[in-house]
Amino acid sequence: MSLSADPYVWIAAFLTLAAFSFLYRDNPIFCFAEHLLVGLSAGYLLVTYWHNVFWLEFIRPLARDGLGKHAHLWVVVVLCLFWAGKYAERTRDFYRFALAFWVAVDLGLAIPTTMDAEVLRQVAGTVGAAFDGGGVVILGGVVMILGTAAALTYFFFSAAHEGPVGVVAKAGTYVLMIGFGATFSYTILSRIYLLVGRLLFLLRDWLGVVS
Amino acid sequence: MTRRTELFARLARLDRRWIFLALLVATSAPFVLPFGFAVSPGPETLRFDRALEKALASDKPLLIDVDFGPQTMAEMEPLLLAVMHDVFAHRRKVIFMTLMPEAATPLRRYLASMEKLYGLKYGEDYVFLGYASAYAYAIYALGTNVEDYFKADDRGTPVARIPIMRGVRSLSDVSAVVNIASNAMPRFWITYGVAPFGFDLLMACTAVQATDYYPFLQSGQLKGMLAGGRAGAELEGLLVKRGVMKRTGDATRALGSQTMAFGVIIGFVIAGNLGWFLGGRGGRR
Repeated sequence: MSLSADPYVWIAAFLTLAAFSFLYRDNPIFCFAEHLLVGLSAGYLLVTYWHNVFWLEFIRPLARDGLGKHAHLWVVVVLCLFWAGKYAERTRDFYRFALAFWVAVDLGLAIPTTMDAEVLRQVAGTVGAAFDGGGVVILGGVVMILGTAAALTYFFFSAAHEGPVGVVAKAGTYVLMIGFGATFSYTILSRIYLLVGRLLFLLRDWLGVVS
Repeated sequence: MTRRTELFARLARLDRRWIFLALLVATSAPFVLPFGFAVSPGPETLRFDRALEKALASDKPLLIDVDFGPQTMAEMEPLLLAVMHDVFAHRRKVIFMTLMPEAATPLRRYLASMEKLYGLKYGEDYVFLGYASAYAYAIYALGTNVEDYFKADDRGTPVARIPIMRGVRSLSDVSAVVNIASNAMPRFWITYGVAPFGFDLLMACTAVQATDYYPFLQSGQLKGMLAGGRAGAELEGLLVKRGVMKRTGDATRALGSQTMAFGVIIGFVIAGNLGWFLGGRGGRR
């Protein structure tokens, strides 16, 4: 293993170090890297959407099969143009039409499936879990049912959080805090992974000190 | 202020750049030091592995939806590569797709390297259907009729003329769907796919997302889940043990850095709290 001779690797290494330099203090090299990232990201997404959406899903089918076979694509294009109507008062009604169309289709698709996937099956999964296994599993299931009930009580505002309701709601906050703690530690795990990814790039792909 | 209180107060005022430096040293050290970190597969990874093995035992092709871009590549790439090695080593047919435009370019690169490594034939061993816009509708359409949505693959070949796609009319004709995603796509697969059509869904995600999806794993709506780099390392270990991979990959390699970094973070959390409570609670800035 040796120092990379690839100019693209050197550019990437320079930009990685430029981004890391912010950890010491704000500086012009970091600002340069930051602005470059914003510009490149916008350009990358524009080209990606142009190629993967506009070209592959609109122009190529029309060029291949002619206008007649894909007439429905023009409806989509017109609806997209309606979205742009929001920028002028005179054309704002077109935008509202496109928005209404989008909301109607989305809600029609989402309401029954979301109710099934995220409410009914979750309730069934929560209740059923307590009786599906040995002693430890049953204990875990009972803790889960009680924890779910306590957390839901915290968000139940039709009764004052006093007396027994207050005690259960307070227990609910502890359940929520444990949940937030788990989420936070997983977040650190992910962020460290991003750091490790860049370090591995610097040590292996650029400097060549790691095989 | 006593000498001891002053010491703890200084601890609480520690310049954050020392913390960054300690993290840099801790995460870099495992790459150059000659010791490794062992990992044994957890219950979620074993469950994912069993579900994938069950899907691979079927004659039907597997559908893999890849939804991550350059920003999460460090964590997601090892997960995808481990799954790809497992699938292609079994010589199973795979249909790839993506619901995220920026995932298409890296995926083409991964597929090209796998094609070379395993001697795969495009269209017969695997196919890349390309990017599908409007994810909710795409998933719903796949559940009813694939050709209603995908007229052609990523290279422009009509779906009807692709050998691997013969006999695949909808999601009921695939052995399972594996969603490798760093965004909310697994939730859409559950809502618009599993709920109405009831197929086996497996997923791999970043560690940040894990707590969002545990309820779906527990309820059985997900058959398996790989959560973050640690799960990637666990799967790599399993695949090496089974002879699918010759050696572990970057997920295992990063595990030492993860462990060291967590040790440093926990150390600084303890030190910070000691500084705050024993340093007169005024040392913090």
